[in-house]
Amino acid sequence: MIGETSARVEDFAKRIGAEVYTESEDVARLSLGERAAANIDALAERMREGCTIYDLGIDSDRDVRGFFYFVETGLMEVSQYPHWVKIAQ
Amino acid sequence: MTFVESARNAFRFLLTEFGFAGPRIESGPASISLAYVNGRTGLRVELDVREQVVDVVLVRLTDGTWPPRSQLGWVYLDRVARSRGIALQSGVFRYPQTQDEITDRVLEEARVLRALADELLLGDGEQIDRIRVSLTS
Repeated sequence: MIGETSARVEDFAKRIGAEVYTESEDVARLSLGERAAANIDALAERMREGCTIYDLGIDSDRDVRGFFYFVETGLMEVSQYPHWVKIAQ
Repeated sequence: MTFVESARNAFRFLLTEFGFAGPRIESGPASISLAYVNGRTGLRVELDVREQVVDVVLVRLTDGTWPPRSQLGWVYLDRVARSRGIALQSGVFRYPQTQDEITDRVLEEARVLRALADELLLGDGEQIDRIRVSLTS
């Protein structure tokens, strides 16, 4: 599951039994770009496996936009992934 | 100083001056939060570990429980502050990258919450509804 605001995504994922990306401690120590690349690698792996990617979308209550979510949706859009499910909020 | 330690210190005034209980500390794969409660008013100080964003969110509790995150009604402090003409100090880059920057952000959120305390923290939850209406009108 992807979406803006990790606590919000984790809360929803728990309710529907979906998986969220977990950054390892080693990756967390890397630069922002390297962390984004690791995030995208993990998402691409799930796409290669044909997993459904649930998308909770932006957190419209918040003004700040999420960099990682922006990158994730970029991958989904350019690949036109067929199992990308946007959840209406 | 960790996020939890800095948030505990910065928001201690919720307990000593406004009668809140807490914090209950929750952590997920990419988030850490401190939750405070006073009657029907809930307040969470959150660190989105992945995005490195610190937020303060106010919530009107329903029968003593936190409503699902996906429901409307979670009010972000920075949005209230902006609507009241109070700018949160932030660097060129909105996202803190170091522990010191996260601590600075926590202190800034606490400063703004204090500035808006009379409007945001006093009341038994109904003030959250008023704020929500003011943000959408």
